[in-house]
Amino acid sequence: MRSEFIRIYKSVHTWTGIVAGMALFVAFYAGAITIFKEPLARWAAPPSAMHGSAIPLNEAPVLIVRTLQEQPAAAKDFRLHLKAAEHLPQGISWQVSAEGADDHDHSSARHYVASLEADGGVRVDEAHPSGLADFIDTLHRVVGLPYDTDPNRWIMGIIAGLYALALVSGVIVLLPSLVKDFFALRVSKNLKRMWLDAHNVVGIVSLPFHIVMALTAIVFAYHDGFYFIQDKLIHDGKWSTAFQGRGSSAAPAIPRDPAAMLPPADLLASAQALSPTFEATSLQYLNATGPRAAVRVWGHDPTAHSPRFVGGFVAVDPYSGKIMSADFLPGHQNLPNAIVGSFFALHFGTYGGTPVQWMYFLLGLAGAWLFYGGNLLWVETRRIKAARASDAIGLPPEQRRDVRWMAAATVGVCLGAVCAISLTIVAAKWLHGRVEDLNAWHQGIYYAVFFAALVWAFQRGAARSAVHLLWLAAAFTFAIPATSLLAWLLPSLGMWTHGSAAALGVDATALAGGLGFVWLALATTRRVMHGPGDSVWSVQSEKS
Amino acid sequence: MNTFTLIGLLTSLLGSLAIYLASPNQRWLAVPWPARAARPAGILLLAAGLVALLQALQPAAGSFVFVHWLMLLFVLLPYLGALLDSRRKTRS
Repeated sequence: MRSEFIRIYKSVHTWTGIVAGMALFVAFYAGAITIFKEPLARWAAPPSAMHGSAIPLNEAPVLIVRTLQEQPAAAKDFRLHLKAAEHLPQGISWQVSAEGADDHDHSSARHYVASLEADGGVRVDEAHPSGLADFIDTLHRVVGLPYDTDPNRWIMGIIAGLYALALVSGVIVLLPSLVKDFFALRVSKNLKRMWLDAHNVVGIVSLPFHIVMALTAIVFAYHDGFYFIQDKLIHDGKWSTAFQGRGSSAAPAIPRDPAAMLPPADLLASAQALSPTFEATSLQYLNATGPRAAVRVWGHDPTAHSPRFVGGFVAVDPYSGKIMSADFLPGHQNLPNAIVGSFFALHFGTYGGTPVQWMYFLLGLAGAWLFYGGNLLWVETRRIKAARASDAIGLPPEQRRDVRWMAAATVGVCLGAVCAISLTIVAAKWLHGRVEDLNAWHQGIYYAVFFAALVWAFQRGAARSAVHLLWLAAAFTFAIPATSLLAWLLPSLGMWTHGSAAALGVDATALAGGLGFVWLALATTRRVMHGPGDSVWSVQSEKS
Repeated sequence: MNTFTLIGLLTSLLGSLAIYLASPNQRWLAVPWPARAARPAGILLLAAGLVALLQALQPAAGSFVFVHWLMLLFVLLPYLGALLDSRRKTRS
């Protein structure tokens, strides 16, 4: 390939990477944590009589009928959870979304739980589930922005487009030396070579993972637009009205009697008959008293991929037990649905169980490092070296302002996001019951720490602030298991420690993460204090 | 974890290791393994690993697990190699 073409692609790769890299770091770091969204939600869930156990299946029909008598509005969409977990309600639950809220933004929704009392009556309580895991998921979905709304998703889509462009151009740049340098990670005095190798190993080896992430993120960002165009071009604008017509126009004046619905055990048996390996986790009742009532039996199939983050489902008619749709049933989709579903599964890591969750967690962290390392490479490439090694010890040359700013921005944004996520996780236990709107505090803490880190990085320079922020990241991340330990030792503090493997796994992972940040902080301190002075990563450079 | 899944992951790990250690760019050993023997052995181990995974999982899920496991291993092995290499250089 002609070298001028390589130069053009290199330029495209550099600038797309620089523009999108920091946003992608936040998306990947938060995304790696979101893989363990359920364990994090369990860790953050305060002990509650309404949560933590599943009601016996034989009590569910009575609960459903009596709840719908008292709360007819719940019939539109409610859930019966079959598994017990710290964050899952006992009984049935539903949400009421705020007026005008985005379909994907559940932060303002009100949550209700209905349970059976000892005398057979129904008790309805408003629940206030922790929004911690959802907030970190939102940071992942919209590259660090606070709300999952259309405009924020469009911004994310632009970042994802730049990401795709960076991947393609990066591969083209690397093609001439791909075979020769495969697996090469040369640690030597040539730091540019080292950062380039470190960047290329992750970028090339995990390229399929990144291509899937980039393409699916673009689809997630603009799917409403895709559906709109599809409706206009293929369905003559009648697609959405066809769906509306099903539920509303033929609605009878008298609602159907929920007592006539089949018991949940029968609905589960219908799903099980269709797929013996399917493991149901919840039943979602939609328009339960309407003419087109449906129950989605949600769950996982350990042998197959699931088309959604929370699994897949089979839709059953709750009055007849007839299967309405198996389009989203893991392992039993037709070919077109299985292909579309596989893209979702490849983005969410919803196949292969816990081992694959760990693979995605580590590949996600490696992805975050890919973008951080790309910026390090940009900085190193523009380093002004001293003419002789001895000059670098005395008065090193002043580094370019744009390079100093890029280094500070990289440190501030990336390590700021790391510190902010850790501290907002810690706040889930410390602030529970002490503040009125904990979910708003999660956001407030995240952005306060994030922007403070950014200001600090520009004020103190990349070298010093990198050390400070890495120690802060270690301290905040250690605070996660330390909080659980303290809660266990001193119950009077009003916090909690759940004994489930999922919740303890969060503490163990944070402990390992804290140790990782200590290691990075020590290595960075060595570099900053004793490394060559002719670099933005040296305190000597900051004196000049 | 399903036994076949465990066997599949372990066999693929050995296959990846053989392929990495046969690379001239490997940093684990002073001298790379002979490529003529190690690469075919690695490929055979990877094939066996895939077959084992497909015993436990449906074709799409089994292939996805296999590919992602390989990506993770081929990222981790050079990084571990660089870490070992730099420690050796520091000691000597």
